[in-house]
Amino acid sequence: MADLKRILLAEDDPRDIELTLTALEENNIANEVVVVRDGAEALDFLHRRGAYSARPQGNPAVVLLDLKMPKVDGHQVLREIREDPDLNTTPVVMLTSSREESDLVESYQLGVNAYVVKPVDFSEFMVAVKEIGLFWAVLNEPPPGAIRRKP
Amino acid sequence: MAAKKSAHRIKRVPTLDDIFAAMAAASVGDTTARVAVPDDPPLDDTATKFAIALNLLLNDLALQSSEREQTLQALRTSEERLQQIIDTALDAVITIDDQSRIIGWNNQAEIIFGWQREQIMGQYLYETIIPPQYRRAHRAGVKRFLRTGEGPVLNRRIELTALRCNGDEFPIELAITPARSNERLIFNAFVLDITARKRAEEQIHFQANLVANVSEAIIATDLQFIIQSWNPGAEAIYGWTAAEVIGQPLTKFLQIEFVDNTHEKSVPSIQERAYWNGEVVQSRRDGTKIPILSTVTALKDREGKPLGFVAVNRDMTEHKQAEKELAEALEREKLARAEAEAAKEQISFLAEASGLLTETFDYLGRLKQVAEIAVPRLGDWCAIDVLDADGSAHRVAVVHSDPAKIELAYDMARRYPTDLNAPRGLYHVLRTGESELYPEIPDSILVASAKDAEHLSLMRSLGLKSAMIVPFHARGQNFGAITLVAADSGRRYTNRDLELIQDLARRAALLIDNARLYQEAQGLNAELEQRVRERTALLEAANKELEAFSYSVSHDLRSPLRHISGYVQLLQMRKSDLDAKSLHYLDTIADAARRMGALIDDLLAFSRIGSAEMHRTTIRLGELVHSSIAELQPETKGRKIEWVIAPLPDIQGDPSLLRLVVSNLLSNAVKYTRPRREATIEIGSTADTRESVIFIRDNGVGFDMRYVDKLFGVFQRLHRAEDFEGTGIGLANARRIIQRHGGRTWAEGELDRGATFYFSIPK
Repeated sequence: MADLKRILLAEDDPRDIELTLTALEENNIANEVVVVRDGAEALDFLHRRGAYSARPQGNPAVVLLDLKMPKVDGHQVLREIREDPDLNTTPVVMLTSSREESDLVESYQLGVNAYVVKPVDFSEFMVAVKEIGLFWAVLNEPPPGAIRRKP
Repeated sequence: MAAKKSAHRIKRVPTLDDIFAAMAAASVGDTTARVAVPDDPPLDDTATKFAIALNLLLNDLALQSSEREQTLQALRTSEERLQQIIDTALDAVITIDDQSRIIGWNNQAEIIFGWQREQIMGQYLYETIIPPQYRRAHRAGVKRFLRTGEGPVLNRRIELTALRCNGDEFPIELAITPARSNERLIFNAFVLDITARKRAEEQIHFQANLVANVSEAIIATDLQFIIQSWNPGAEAIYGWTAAEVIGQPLTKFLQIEFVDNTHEKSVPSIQERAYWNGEVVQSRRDGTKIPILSTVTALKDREGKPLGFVAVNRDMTEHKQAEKELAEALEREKLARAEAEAAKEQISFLAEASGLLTETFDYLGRLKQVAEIAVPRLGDWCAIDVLDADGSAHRVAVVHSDPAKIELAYDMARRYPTDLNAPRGLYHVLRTGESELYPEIPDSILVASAKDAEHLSLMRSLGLKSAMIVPFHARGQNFGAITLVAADSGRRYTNRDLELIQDLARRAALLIDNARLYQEAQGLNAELEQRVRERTALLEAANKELEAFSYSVSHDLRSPLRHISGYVQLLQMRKSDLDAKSLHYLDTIADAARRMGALIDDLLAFSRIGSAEMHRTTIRLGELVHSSIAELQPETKGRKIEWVIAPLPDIQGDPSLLRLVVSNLLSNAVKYTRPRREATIEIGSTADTRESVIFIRDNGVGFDMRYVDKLFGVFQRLHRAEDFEGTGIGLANARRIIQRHGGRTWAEGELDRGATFYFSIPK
């Protein structure tokens, strides 16, 4: 595809955003990273609606999804992604500080591709982000983009 | 030369030849032979004189011979006649010689004995017809007679037995007479086969015996009722002997009373049918009257001419007595049987009722069933009343075999309600707990209790005859009562009945008591359960809160931590812009953040232990220990550790939780033996009937026993963080887990010598 493998990062905490972006930069994962601040925005982006109705076509190569977000939380976003035939092949990695078993169960039941608990230790965090990024945004072949229909 | 018939025609003188011829002829039997002599014979001629003499002689001879002939003939005839007599005699005539050889055997002997004359003639009598038992006597008798002339058995009739040709012994009448025949002694025996006669004699004898031996009186009279025969039975029954009564009129002795008017029939009956049978009463010699069953028949001779009467009388005294006793016995038996039946009914009722009174769950229903089975076994009515806790009585059951009567009872109860304070009756029983028994309910009581005429008639129509009211009394309390009433069945209640029902009533009381207590307990239980439910709900709510809290902690607390850690590292990455001290401070901050993370994790784990589900199963402790040791490999790598592991038992518990405990204790042992060059870690167990105790002993740095209480506290440490890492939550976790298993944890230690940690798991 012509598009660079886009990474969609859904994260509400600005510090986490900064840390994640820094980690990605430090590891030279130069993909375009789109940051959305909550689940609603994430969905708007994915569906190409609202503020993002003019965005270029194409699904992100991976969605890094936080669980605890205002408005619409990560599980709901995941559910919608998986229920939408245009989006459901999109790789989703839950990137969250929750190690709760219930969250794990729910996420996998909804069809998450990976679940990564944000390490408290930053260096570990950096490693995790690097590996996620390298894998999903560089190594992995994303699914072919779905045919877009104008809303 | 033939002699001439007529000698007087010849005129010549006889010659010697003529004389010899005549002699010759006479010698051969010619009785007419004579010498011919002229009519006028010369008497001087010798031959003539001889011839005349010879002729005289021959005349004599002829006469003699003719006389002899006649005698012989008479003899022969006589013999023949004799033989005929013998041959046609109906007696057997047997003749024997003095050797007992049979020389005479007539036709009848052939017939009687079966021997043919030809067979038996010449045989010895004692080898043929004399039975073995008489043979010796016979021969001895003969010998004696020959010797002495005495013969006791001779010349008279005797009875013996003899043998037929086929061996049968049979009775004979015998007469033996001795005789002489040609100078020889012979015996003539006249034998009569008396088999038939003997049989007849026996019959007569037997019948006479019968008459003599029967216990019945057999009285024979002639037509004028003169007693002809009076048997021993009659003597026994009436008291007069035969000698006293024979020849006398019957009526002199026997007074006859006829039962009913049978005597009117008796005479015609006898006259018409020569028979009468009936019961009479007769008097004995001593005056006592006895019942007699009499059968009178008319005696007739062979031509049918009446001879008299025969009465066969049986003394019925014993019989009547026996009859009476039998009737009495039957009556008694009937009574006894009725009693036994009643008793059986009672027992079966009690058994059944007891069986019913075991279930407290539906005690009211059970009481009702008891009432139902009481009718009709125990009475015609049964009512059961129960006293409630508040003292009010209500009727649980009313049973009567006739439902109409129940209606009637209710009707009456409605119209004439029972006086609660009556001195007798149900309410009195319920109040006082005393039974009441009315074996008979005389009408007077009904009259006394009736409120008005209609009430009285209602009560009467209920037909109450006997009643009892038995309270259910136990533990000093009255719980109700059972009322039993007999009406038409005719039964009367006795003290015994009362006792039996009292036993049942006690049981019923206990049942009701138990049922009430149980209900109370149930009520209390229900309350308790309600409280438990509420508490559980509260706990659940609390748990939920805790879970939410944990969730919050795990999420919300970690994020700032991560940020701190993150930004510190970012700063650290700007090494060039920072001095050593700043970098040191940053290290410290990062470290602190790391520790805080560990603490949070431990805290979370700890809090979850309380609510985690426990799966109880059998755990092979040995395997668990070994796998835990294997997991500690990162820590044990490069170290010299001697593991002393005793055989460990299987324990009951949650595998994952207990693994945490074991891991924790082992990792502690490994950690605190680090200063040792050679660490020795010992794992073993003891057990008793109730629990297994497992210990882990190390030769590490140990601890001061003064602070042993703090060991298992949350976040409590007895060592400095820089010496030994750790949050201090491991042992607290272990204690919590073991507590949940129902066990205990404790420890012993000595500074610098080592420590032993124990935990117990119930079996």
